[in-house]
Amino acid sequence: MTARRRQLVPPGLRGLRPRLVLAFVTVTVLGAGIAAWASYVSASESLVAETQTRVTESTRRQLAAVAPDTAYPPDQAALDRLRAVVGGQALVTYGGSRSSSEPEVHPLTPEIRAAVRERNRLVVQRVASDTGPKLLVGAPVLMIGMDGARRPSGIEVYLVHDLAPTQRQIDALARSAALTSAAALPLAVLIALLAARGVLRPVRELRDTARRLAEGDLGARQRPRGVDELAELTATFNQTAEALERLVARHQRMEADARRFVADVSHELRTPLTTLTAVVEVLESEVDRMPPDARASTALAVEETRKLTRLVEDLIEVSRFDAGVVRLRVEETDLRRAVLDCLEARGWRDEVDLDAPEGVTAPVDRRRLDVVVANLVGNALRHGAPPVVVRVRAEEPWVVVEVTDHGPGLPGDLAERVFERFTKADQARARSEGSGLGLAIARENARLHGGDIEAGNAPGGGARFVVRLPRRRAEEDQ
Amino acid sequence: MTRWPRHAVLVLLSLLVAGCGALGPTGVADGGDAPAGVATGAPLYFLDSAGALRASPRATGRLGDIRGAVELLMTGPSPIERDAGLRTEIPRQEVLRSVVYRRERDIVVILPFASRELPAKGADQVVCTALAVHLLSGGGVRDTHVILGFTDGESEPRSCPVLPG
Repeated sequence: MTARRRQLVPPGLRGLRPRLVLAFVTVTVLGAGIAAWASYVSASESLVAETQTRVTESTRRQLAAVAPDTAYPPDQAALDRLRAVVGGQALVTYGGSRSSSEPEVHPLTPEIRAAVRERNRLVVQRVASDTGPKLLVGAPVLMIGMDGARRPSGIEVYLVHDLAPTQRQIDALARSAALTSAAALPLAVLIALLAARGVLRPVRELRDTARRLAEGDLGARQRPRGVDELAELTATFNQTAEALERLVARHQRMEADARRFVADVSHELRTPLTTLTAVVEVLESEVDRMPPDARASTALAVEETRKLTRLVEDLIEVSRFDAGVVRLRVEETDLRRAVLDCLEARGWRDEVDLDAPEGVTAPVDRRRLDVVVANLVGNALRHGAPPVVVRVRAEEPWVVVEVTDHGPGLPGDLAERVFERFTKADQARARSEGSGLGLAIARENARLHGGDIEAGNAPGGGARFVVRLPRRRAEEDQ
Repeated sequence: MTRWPRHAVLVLLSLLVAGCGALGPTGVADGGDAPAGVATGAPLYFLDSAGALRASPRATGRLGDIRGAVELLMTGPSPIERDAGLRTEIPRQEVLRSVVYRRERDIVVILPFASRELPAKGADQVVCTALAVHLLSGGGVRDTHVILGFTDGESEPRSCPVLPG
């Protein structure tokens, strides 16, 4: 039903303004038309009634004035004189004789002749003719006895009155009625446009304010005007926007607090950890002289201290990303050289197959590229299975570094969550060797360059991470 | 959506037809009272041998007006009327002039006499003749009275004792 209705409404009339204007104009013109028509009908009816009354009254008065002076029984001259007194198209009859037939008289109807004879009253009948409507007036001239009784004298007077002038007056009335209705049209359009503007302006302003709110301007408000439904809507809108702004502000504050807390804790932990690391390294150098059970505990302490140090360093790095204080130190870098340096520095050269052509360069921060490659390769070595392959290639407008292992690959939806902080590949294994932040930091670094990292599975099984970095330096970076 | 404008068009069309029918043909309708006033003669009132008022139409061929009838009355009965025993009590005069006019509903007849010259019966003759002509020309006599004007004043409004009303 709704769909059908929508099809029936022409596209140009779907807006609120055309519909308002159309409805207003329709009602106004219809009202003006009906009012004009009603006044036309009543005016024309009273015009017709007035004309009929005038004609019959004047006929009666003229005949009454001349009757006492009319010879009775009337001769031809008396009939002609009566006809002349009534004037116009008139016919006077008495028994078989009749007034002279000049001018030609419109044919009389049998009904009016019968009515004149039977009723002893003045009678009227309207007839249509080729030359327009006519009014027939029939008047028997009565004879009154000394007793007051009224009897027909046998003299009958017929008058044909042309209603064409009346018809013209009525036509003029109809024209003025139509004109009045038509004159209401432009006025109605004008008023409707003004009214629509008055109604639609707050709606438009509310729409603009809502759009600003949607674009992130949480301070956008609309001043309510008046006390109508639109003002209520505006007030409700403002309340909604206020609640939203408060909520967002609270969340932002809480998030900022949490991040600051993490950053503060990380920094506070770093100094004691440095001391702890130094102590643990001393212990480690003494490990050969320890009894065997103490030796295992010491090794565990050394291992956990190092992991803690890495976690804290990663946390500090993430905090710096969150705080937005990270700056790139970009230089044109040969990627094969950079990846080789990274692998060699960590002693992974023998465990990783490098497939990188010479001469692929890109503007990157070497230290950060090193972090990215180290995280991805370290991840592959820890969770995947050898051989781990690193491929470097140019793919305009990117350079691509691809790290593939031959392990079981990323299960299910892990590919989507793998870059989230503290995502664990295996939920059962509560403790992982990594900090849980490595991939998140790698992605932040890639994005800082204007690139990204995608996680997925290689066609032959095994996880595949693809790093894309822009090959050309973007203008806004420098 | 498509049905109501059709109805509106029908309503407007019927209004249009009703409007245009203002001058359409009709049947025969009443137009009021018919005119009256033809008669074979003027009704004059004389007195019979018993002194009663008696109408005697003078065959003038038409009714005529009140003044004509009053002046005819003042000439007295015709020989035929006299033979039928009719007489008049209106005094004979050299001047047979009168004036008749309407004063509101009443008819004023001014006669060339002094009031004492006209006996009561003669006055009735004039009043009845004037009212009879008025009646035959289509006027009502119920509320109409005759005021006689004399050279020395006017009479009270009078009515005719032998006419209806």
